[in-house]
Amino acid sequence: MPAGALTNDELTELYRRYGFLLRRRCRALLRDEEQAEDALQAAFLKIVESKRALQAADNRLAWMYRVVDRCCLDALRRRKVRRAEPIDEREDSEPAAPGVDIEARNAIARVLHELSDSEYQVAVLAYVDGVPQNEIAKLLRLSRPTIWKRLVAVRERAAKLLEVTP
Amino acid sequence: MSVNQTCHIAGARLDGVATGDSDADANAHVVSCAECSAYVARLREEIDAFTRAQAEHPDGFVASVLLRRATAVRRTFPLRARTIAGAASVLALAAVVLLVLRPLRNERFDPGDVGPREGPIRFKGGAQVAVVVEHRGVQSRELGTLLIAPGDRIRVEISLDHEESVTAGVLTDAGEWAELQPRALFEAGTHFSEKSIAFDGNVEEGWVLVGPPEAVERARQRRDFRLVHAIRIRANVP
Repeated sequence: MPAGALTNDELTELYRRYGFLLRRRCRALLRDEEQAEDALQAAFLKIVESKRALQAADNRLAWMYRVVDRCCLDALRRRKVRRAEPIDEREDSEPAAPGVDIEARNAIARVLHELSDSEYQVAVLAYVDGVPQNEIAKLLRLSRPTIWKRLVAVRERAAKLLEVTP
Repeated sequence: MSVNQTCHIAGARLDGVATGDSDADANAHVVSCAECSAYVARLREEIDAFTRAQAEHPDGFVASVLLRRATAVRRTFPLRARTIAGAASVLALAAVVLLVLRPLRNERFDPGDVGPREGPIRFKGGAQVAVVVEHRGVQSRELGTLLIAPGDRIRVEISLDHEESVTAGVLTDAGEWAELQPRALFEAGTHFSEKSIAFDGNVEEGWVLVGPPEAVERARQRRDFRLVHAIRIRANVP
């Protein structure tokens, strides 16, 4: 392994400790078993090469969630390009963390691939994780009004795509 | 549709309490919040179960990542760096084999070992896979990495504890597939593959794959070695 990359033992340990959570996240975002597995592999490939960033992270899990989110977005974009590919429309039945609106989470999950990068980031934090707006603002180092505007845009986009009232 | 504005903590901060990654404030919140506490307790149970399962029977995910990494290195490095890339790939692949098959012992080089052997990669239901290598008229039963010399012949031995649909073959690093066992429904017991493969003067490195037909197909197409038994083939050349 080159310098700055995880050793095999470190990778194994990381997978044992975080694999369950990271896989669960991929499934929640992609709702497709195969794509979720592929995205998880892609995420671990990035993580393997980013030992220093991982070690420097204040919250290793939060850092890995961001990597997973990025890989899932890539997968969603590829899915968007290949429209013929069947998409698993089953609703995510995973128990949610306290404060997460499951109905909203499932609705947003269906339109994630249509969102811009910035909207996607905010939507995942707000609807998949249930992070309050003020904390999202802190995490992304943006003002709360900016977060609010992005969430409004997400809701409007979702409503349009799903043809429901926001 | 509304966004959570309650006092709960969320996302990685909350999940991180279950993995020990969160800050003191998050931990304190979970202690004082019944809902979050119940969520974290359930998450801990699931994580612990996953961790235990991986320690006992790894699902092959790490091997798949390392193999994909090795393949990516080969594909992306410029020509002048091919030597380095090749060495890295070989090291990564060797690491995969060491990592995945570390508990195994190679019978050819350890004839004194008569203890039970069990591979960490097993396909569903519990199967033991060994490869019978015929080298210059002498047969050996291998569980770990195969060191194949020109002229060697291999056959697979599959032991099942229940009825199972199985296929087997050799996937070369170049992506070529040679069948050892066409899809067949085996009863519980020990079976040998219907076919054997003889290696000519140019031994192509790759993997012996054994498992349910759909899992083997997945391994062939996507290099996803979960749920298949994978044994590395290395060229034993001077």
